[in-house]
Amino acid sequence: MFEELSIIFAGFLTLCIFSFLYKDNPFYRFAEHLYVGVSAGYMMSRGMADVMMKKLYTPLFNTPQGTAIDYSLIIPIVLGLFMILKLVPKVDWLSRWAIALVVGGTIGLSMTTRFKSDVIIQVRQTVEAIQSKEASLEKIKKTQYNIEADYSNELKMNSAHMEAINKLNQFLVWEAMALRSVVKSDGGVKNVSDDSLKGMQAGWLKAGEAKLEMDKQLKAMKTNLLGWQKLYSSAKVSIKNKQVALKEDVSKFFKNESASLSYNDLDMKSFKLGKELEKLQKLEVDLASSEVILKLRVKSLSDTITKVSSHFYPPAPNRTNLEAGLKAVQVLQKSLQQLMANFQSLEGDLASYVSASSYFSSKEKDPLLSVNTKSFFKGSESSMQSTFIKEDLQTGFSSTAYDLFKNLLIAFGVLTILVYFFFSTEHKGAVGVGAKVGIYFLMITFGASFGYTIMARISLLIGRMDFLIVDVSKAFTSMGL
Amino acid sequence: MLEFLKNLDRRYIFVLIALAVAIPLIMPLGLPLTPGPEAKSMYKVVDSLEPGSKLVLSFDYDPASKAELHPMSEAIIHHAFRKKLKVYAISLYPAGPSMATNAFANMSKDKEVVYGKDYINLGFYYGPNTGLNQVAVFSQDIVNAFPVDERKKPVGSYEIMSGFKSLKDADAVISISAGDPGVPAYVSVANAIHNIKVGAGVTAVSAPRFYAYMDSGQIFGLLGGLRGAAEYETLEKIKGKGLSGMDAQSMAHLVIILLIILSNIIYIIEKKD
Repeated sequence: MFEELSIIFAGFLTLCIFSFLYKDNPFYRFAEHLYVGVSAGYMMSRGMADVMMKKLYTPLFNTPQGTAIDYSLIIPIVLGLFMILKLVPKVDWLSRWAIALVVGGTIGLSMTTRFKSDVIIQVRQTVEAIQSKEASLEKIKKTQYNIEADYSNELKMNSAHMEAINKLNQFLVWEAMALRSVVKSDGGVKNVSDDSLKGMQAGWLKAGEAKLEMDKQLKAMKTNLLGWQKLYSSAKVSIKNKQVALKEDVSKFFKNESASLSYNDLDMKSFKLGKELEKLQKLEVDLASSEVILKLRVKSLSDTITKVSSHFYPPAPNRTNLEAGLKAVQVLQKSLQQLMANFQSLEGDLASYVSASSYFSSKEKDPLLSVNTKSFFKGSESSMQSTFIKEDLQTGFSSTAYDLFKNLLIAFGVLTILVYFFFSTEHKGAVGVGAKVGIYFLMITFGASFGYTIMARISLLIGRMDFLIVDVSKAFTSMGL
Repeated sequence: MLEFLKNLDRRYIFVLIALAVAIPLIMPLGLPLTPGPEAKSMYKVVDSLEPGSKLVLSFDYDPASKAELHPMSEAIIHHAFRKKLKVYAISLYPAGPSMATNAFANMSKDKEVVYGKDYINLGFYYGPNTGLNQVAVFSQDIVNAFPVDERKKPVGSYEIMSGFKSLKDADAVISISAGDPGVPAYVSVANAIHNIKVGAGVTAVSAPRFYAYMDSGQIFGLLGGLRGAAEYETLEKIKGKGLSGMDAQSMAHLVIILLIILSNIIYIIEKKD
């Protein structure tokens, strides 16, 4: 009931204000004075509640337990009192101190904030806007990851790696066969002949040499694996950088283009960009898991090296230690078999890396990154996944001429208006023409603003009319009138 | 006739405008409305926020601008609630909190949203220097600026406040502003200094000024006047006060254009005579 009455009263006050359109009258004056009084009263009560009570009284006289009293608040109290002293002619000069502080503070804040937002950024954007789109494209290009160089390095490492695996594999197969045949040919440890023993001792020495070679190969492999690890780590960092660069560059691109794009286009581009970033993120996850696998491989290889070494240093075979020596050879054989199995598994891993690399290569794609500079800008049928970005950019560039004209017009308008407001030189000749053109730009600007002003005022009228027609009539209806 | 038109009492024009506004309000014409790129950009950013994202709405207006700005606030809140965003209302105007209360009340009807969990009205923060000081404080420590909310309860007691310490924690900030303090303060401090994403809903009178911010990318979207609100409502597919007022707006503009043409014709005829 109270709400309905309030609405009806507000409707009556609205009509009172509108009555001024006919002519000045007591109803209008009543509504006007009521409005001014209520506004002032509301402002004052909010000021008392939000400032005097919340920020002054409570922290000074009603502090919560455990909270120290903030005595620095006495300073604004004193300055506030100085403001009021404006009413006392003898000491009204004190009010200037408080006013000076407020004015100084405002200027200080404005200098550091509004200067940046309204001058620096605006001027920068005005200048940047008239740069050609090709220049922006070149900038994006430069931020691309240097894929080709890394891919070439990666292939080189792959081939060295594979070579090492093959050599080692061949050696291990041969060595295992030789060891088995020596033991087998003499029919057991006890019956081994002197010649065989000498041969075994000579073979042992050769095996020692081979072991040194194997150690070398294994260490080389470990270094290779560590190199892979480093490459993967740097690729991860590159992907991160790439993500940031892509996000920044393309969002900037969209920002510049958004005004000239239809909503659907913008939506589609954002969607595609999101998908591209998703791919990069997925690749980052893939790389992280590959790195984990590589770490395991390095550890496994290190363990095998240690194990093989520990079995390779029994004394040279003689009749007393031959049995123990054979056992050592058998253990060594097992270790070698494990090592071979490890190598085969590693070979499989590497083969899959190489095939993945070949796949990316055939698709003109970065082996580590999903967006390739080549496909990004040149485009090819086989690189469909990233073609859309290229299409986006091309679509954007198709409006280059319009954008260039628009941006040049704005820059020209800014210059001519500045010429108009430059009074140190008489407005004659070229300066006069520039100033005249500047006036036209100003008139168009003011006209546009005036159009908006009319719209604003009509909006206020619509708000009031809507209130009278909808809300007030609803209030009457709900009261049964 | 010419003499009558030359000396036409201005009150006839008032009546004409009143009719041009009132008739479409009573009998809507359903004129088409195509949202502009600025409103689309604003909608797009809000729409791209994940559920649970933090959206700060600054109610920087009072009843004097309610007709133009309130429909914007309501449309954005509707969108935010639909997207399950967390909405934080703050204000640089003393009457702003009551505007926020009203908008939340209207938009939370028939929706499963809870005060303190899905939205909160932090209230008004007083500060000099046309908003710069306030926004600087919000950007550093919003809890210190609003120790209690509009319902006078400590803000720390609300679930929605966990993880929200300053404007920097917000995923987007939109200032619905009637002038200064308002959008300029958010652009100058929150965006220029702290790189916080800022959107703007402004009165039609002040809209031309903010196009420069839009073009330079300092704001991510711009809603200008009642039309801006109507555009957002179109994108959000709701029929609010913005859309219902656009027929009246168009008719009033048509009457004004016709009157301008008529005045010029009279001027030309008079000049010839």
